This record gives sequence, structure tokens and C-alpha cells, in this order.
Amino acid sequence: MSTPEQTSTHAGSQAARAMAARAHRRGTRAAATYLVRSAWLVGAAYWVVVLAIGAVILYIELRGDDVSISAVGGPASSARFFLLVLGIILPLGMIALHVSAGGTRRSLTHGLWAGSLVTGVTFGLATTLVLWCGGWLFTRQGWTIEPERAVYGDWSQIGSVLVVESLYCTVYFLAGMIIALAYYRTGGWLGTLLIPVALVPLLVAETTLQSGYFGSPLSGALGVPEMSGWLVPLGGLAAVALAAAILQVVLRAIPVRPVEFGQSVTG
Amino acid sequence: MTTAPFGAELRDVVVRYGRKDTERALDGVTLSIRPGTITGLLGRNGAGKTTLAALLAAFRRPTSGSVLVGPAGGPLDDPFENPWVMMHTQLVRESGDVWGDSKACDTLDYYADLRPDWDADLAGRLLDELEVDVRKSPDALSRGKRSALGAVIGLASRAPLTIFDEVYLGMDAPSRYAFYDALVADYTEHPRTILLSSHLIDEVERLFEDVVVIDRGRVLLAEPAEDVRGRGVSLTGPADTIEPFVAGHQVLARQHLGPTSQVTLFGELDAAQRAAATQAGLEIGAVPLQDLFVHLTRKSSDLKEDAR
Repeated sequence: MSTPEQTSTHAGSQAARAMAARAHRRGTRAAATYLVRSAWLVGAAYWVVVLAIGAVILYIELRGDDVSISAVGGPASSARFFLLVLGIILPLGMIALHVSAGGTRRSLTHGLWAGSLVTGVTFGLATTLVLWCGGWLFTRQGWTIEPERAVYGDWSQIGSVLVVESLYCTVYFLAGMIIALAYYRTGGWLGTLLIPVALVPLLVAETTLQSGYFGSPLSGALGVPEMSGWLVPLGGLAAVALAAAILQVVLRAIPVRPVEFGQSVTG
Repeated sequence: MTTAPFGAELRDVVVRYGRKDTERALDGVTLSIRPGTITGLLGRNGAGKTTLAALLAAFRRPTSGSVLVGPAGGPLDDPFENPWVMMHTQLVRESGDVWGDSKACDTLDYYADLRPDWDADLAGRLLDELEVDVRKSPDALSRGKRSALGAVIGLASRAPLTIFDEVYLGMDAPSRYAFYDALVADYTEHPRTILLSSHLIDEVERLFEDVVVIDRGRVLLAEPAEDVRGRGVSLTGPADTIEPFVAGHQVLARQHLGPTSQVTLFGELDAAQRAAATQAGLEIGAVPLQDLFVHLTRKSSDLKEDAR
């Protein structure tokens, strides 16, 4: 019943391969765009809340005349945990729709990688900006700034803060996705047993980036020597690469079924 | 320029969901889907229709056996993670693969981004006709409107292999008929392969060119619709005149209206029997597909009960 304007292109032909490559790029771009857009739609509200919490803590501390820089640093550095949760929610709403729309799991994986990187870097940038503003405010007011439990000396080292926070945000975002998709793929019991696998990249990140709530204490407890120089970003990149590789393994050949609670967060 | 309609071949396909070998959703399915046809995929609940559709659309892999999909006149390929085949195959499930709490237009935009042959004009026209408000989220739509959204996605994708899996269940009768009309019109203008899975057999059987009946994971028949209809015959006329023709045939249904009876038989009448029936003043008619479907898929327990 084919009409003259229809082609008999098949999957192995050169034209089909070119079409498939374009489809892959479209799928990757669509998935990445959705991920970044959704993360920032919710993320904008998150940052408003974080800034409000920081301001309230600071106000209370000021009234008690005991001001601490952690009033700013604490909430701002929690972006990675927010992304861990968002990483659990977002891909569950994407997988069935992406495959139904003709995208492959491979293009979804690449889209999630690209989207995680962009989201991680932009959240890292936002964290850096908030930390720097906090540091500037404390310096201007002449308040005491306690030394940071971080590989960077203080928040004025913008480049180092940006690299560390971006890597943290990216790894935590990817780890959330691994947890969610492992549950989606294997069900409740096996999904729970696989949670430690998702925690391995986080362990690598915490013991090489050595900043924030867990980094320094965990490295100390495990006897990991203090990191410096290129070892820090290299370790963080290794954690990102490991998380990306695990995500690929989890997504490869994953059966698609409807997700009841996996919804878009853009509504 | 569009891609030619896709055909499909399944060879000895088994899909097992549980660990036990007895939990088979599909059990040795061997089947061909002719390219450029509307094929009805019929089966009772849990027969394996959705699993079969999921295999063709690369939603999952079979436990064993092979699934091949490809264009008319070309080689067939395994659809799983095959970008070219997947971009040309559209499965619309009853659950609706949409973002429930986001505006419907966001979902449509995603499909439009990924589907190479997406027809935005057709989507717009159908959405208007079926009165689906794309500014609302699918969760805020009635079940019927949500089904209509899925139906629109299926048609506007213009995929060479389009599968509708019970997609119109929630739609009211006017919307369903509007969808059937749109499907036929667009299929005529842009030929492709359409697989329709439905419980509403009476409504959709006029669309079918081929019919596949699945029962408990096995293919009971896969034939052109006309051949399937020819598997049964109905006789209408005086009750006492009909009875001699019933002997030796399985009776699917029997109705009486005063002295007139209508008997639906499974199996064909040979030429001599037909001539005799006509000469006796009986009217010979076709059997509704639904009656044959009910007969073919009855459980053995149902048959025993009927025999009592």
C-alpha cells in the first residue's frame, strides 16, 4: 500500500543511519532540555527557600550576638542533597514518555548525562555565588569567619569553590537517578539492595572533594590523606564518570512500564 | 517523502514476567503483521496483547524468540534500541505516556521534538475536534479527554508502525467515532501499518483488514478479516427449516423471534449446503467478528458449562 512518495529506506542504509544519528541528537537534546528546565523550575523555588532560611538563621544569631558563617554555608551547601532527591523524581517521569516518543534508552542516557552536567554546574555556580555573597557580607560587617571544612581555604577562591560544588551537585544528581531507575528496573527488594551501588560514586566524591558536611569527617574516618591540587578535580571527575557509567548500565535494556507517581515536575 | 509502512515478524516469542516457567505472557508466538494494513489485535484481558505491542515498540525484550520490524520491501530488524526503527514506531498505551501534572502541550512538544514525521496541523485539528484543552494537565482532564490526547499523539506521529492499545476505552461514543473517521482518513492519505487492540470489536471490526486473535499468550488465528468472517455463517428463516442445516455444526448463538429463528454456526457451509439452504428459503449471512471472537476465546470451563 506504499505510495510513490514513500521511500523503502531500511535500518542498514546510509540514509537511515544519517536519520538515526539525527534522531539520537534530537532525543539527547530533548531529554537534557527537559531535565535542566525541570530542575531549575523547582530549583528556583529551592533557592528562594534556602536564602530565606539563611536570612532567618542569621537574624536569630544576630539577636543572640553570636553570628556564624555556617548560617549561609549550611543552607547553600545543601544544594547537592536537593539534587539527589530531584534525581530520584525526574527520570521516572521521563523514561516511558521518551521511549514512547521514539527515543532510545541510549539517547535518554546521553540526555541525562548532559542535563546532569549542566544542572550540576549551574547549581554549583548558584552555590558559589551565595557563598561568595555571604563571605562578602561577613567581611563588610567585620564578623568573624570560621575556617571552612573544605579543600578550598575560603569562599573567596571562587574558581575552586565552583569546581568542587559543581562536581558535588553533578554526582549527587546522577546518584539520585541511579537509585530511582534501579528501583524502576528491579523492584522494591533488589532496588533497596542496589542503593549501596549508587552510594559508591558519592563516597569517591566525598573522599576526594573533602568539603561540606561529610567530606572531611568521612575522609578522616577512612584514613584518606588530605587532597590538594589537581587530585581534587580529578577525583571529582572520576566520581562523575563512575556515576555516569552506573547510570548507563542501569538504563541499558531497561523494560518500560507506566509509572504512577513518576510525574513531570513542571506542572 | 515518508518511510514506507512497516511490517513485523515474530518467531517463537516467549515473554515470562515471573521466575516460574508457567508465568508466560506470550507462549511461543509466531506471527506476521502485513505492512500497510489495519490489523485488529484481539484477545481477552491478560491474553498478551499489551506485551505483544510492547515488544514491537521496543518497550521490552522477549525472554526468547525473535521480534523483527521493518519497512515493506526492506530487511527487518530487531527494534530494541534500534534508533531508526524506534523513531518510526509509535505505541499509544491505554495508560497514556504523558506527563500527568504538566500542561498537555508540554507532552505534545516533546513528541513533536522527537518524531520526524510529526504533523502539528493534524494534531491541532484533532485536538479541537475532540475538544482537548492542551493548556490543562492530563491529570486535570477526564479519562475520555486523556484517551483522546493519546489518540491524537498516535495519529499525529504518522509513524510507519502505529499501535493503539485500548487507547479509546475512556472516550465517549461521538469521540470514538470521530477518532475512527480521522484514523481512516489519515490512513488513506498517509498509508502506514496500524495495529488496533480493542475490546469494542463491534465498533472497530469494519476497519480491520487483518485480524490476530491471542488467547493466554498463544496466537489462535492471524488471517485477513474476510477469511475470519468466513469461518462462521448465520442462517435466518423458519425454525423447523433451519434445524437440518445445524446438524454437524457448532452453534455459536441461537435467537428466536416468533416463528423465525437465527442460528449462528461455527464453520463453513459447503456449496451444496448453501444452495440447499437458499432453495429452502433461508437467508445466509456473515457472522459478526465479535461472536467468533467470543467463541474462539472461551475457556474450556465455559464450554463445559454451556454443554450442561
